Amino acid sequence: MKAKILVVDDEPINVRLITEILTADYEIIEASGGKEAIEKMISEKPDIVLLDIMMPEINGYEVCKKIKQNELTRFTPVVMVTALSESEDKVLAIEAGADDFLTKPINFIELITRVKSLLRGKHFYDQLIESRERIAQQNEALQKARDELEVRVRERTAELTKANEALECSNEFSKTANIKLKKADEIKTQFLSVVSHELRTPLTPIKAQLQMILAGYFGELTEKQKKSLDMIMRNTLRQDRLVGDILDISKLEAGEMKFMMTRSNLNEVIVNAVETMIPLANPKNVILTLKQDIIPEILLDKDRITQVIVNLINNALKFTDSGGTIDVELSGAKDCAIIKVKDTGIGIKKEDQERLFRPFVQVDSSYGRKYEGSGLGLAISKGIITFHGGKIWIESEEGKGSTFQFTIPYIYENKDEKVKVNLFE
Amino acid sequence: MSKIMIVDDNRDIVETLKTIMEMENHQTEEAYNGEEFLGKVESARPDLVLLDVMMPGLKTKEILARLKERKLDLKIILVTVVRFSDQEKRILMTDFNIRDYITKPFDVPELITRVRAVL
Ligand SMILES: Nc1ncnc2c1ncn2[C@@H]1O[C@H](COP(=O)(O)OP(=O)(O)OP(=O)(O)O)[C@@H](O)[C@H]1O
Ligand SMILES: [Mg+2]
Repeated sequence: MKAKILVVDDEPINVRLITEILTADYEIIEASGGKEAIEKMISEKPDIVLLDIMMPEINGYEVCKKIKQNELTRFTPVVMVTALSESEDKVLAIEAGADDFLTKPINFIELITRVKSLLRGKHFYDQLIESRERIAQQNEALQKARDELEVRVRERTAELTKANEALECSNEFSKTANIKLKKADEIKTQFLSVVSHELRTPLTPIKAQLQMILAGYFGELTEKQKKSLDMIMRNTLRQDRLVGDILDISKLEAGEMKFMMTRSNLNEVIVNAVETMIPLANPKNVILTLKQDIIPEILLDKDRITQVIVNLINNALKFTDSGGTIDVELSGAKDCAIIKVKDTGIGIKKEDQERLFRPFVQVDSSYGRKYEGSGLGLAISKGIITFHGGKIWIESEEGKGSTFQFTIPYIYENKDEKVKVNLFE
Repeated sequence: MSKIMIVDDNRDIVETLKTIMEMENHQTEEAYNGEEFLGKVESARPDLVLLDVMMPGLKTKEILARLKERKLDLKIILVTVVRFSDQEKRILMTDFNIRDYITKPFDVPELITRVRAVL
């Protein structure tokens, strides 16, 4: 792109002269007076100005001053063209801010050289400005980047601080959550022990007083009184059993059941359990038999295993009619003991078999049903056997009888020894 | 005839136990909590204590520990809703001189048998 030269002169002939010389290499803009020159400085943005001093209206010095005072134009080189080479002119020109002089009559070679050198200067200057701007821009970008970085660092620090706080908070939270859990566990244990105490306390004088009355300690009883008190007693005992069963199932489900695992003789446990049930089987005319292999002493809770066996025999007795048989069998497999309780009772339909191990489930749950019970025995038994690491299941055919079986794996060592007396207070 | 001290916070249970013990021709004395028991026991000098577990106030372990401190060689039967294992019974017997325990709601004939055995 050609450089632009603004030629300011009130004499058209001068303008034409200069234009002729320069027009081949430069774009020439003309202005015939100071006012026009200043306007064109703004609108045309010339690269150099050739400014005649002697002009009407505003003289060259004034124009030059205006150019040099304006922010937009002050860096554009101004060449003053004087008719005389008077030093006074030059001083005034310098004071007005002119960059160079040319004396009339214009020496063409001088004109071209001056213009060229000034343009070079302007060019350098432009480059300088440009690079300064670039640097400024870069600086700005740098500053911006630095600011952004700072902001990011600040943000990140804040995030980290927050994360740290959150972490501390969550640590604190999990700590309190743990404490709460422990507390909840304690409350649960405490609750169950309080409930068991509170439910059993009123039953204590009821049962004892009834036993004394029924035993005749307080005098003879009429038949009617005795019948009535027997009924009260039956229901008291049932209530007591129910309280025990509900507490057992609650404790099993809460994982709060206290097991007393000791190496025990399972043969002995089973003999004792069966013996306690014989007095109940005889009046029903049901034959209760026991067959057993001798098995090693293994880790178990004697009372709880007894409870399971008694539960199963009780069920068998309940659902087996007069003349039937109940066969209890203990056999030793390779890594577990297998206990079977087989009856010739009413049996259980396939679809009912699985759900009977859930609490409160009974095959006959109709109102006023034939068999007493609350449907907890098998659920408790399952909980106890599961704790021992064994399995419990049914094989049954409706109308023919049922066989309940469970296993107890052979475990000999008690891992968590340390016996502590727990009074649940 | 022996002197039986009955310790329970439930008045009906105390009265019931009293009736049973009197039927057995024993003399009885009552206390309704651990503090009262510890306050009376030295002058009462009972031959047997029927001690309830889980009374308000002093905990059973605390009561047993204080008795041990005072070197009062008392025969004690715990009356409790808790079942004890053989090992627990052993600890209770050797460390705290607990002779036996009976669970609530107890059987009158069973209680009588156990009391006779300890006396
Ligand atoms: N040997 C059996 N023969 C036939 N049905 C049985 C037998 N054993 C259990 N059942 C069925 O399984 C149900 C649940 O038995 P479970 O022992 O859990 O409760 P329950 O005997 O009814 O009551 P609880 O044992 O609480 O007194 C019984 O109600 C009965 O319907
Ligand atoms: Mg049952």
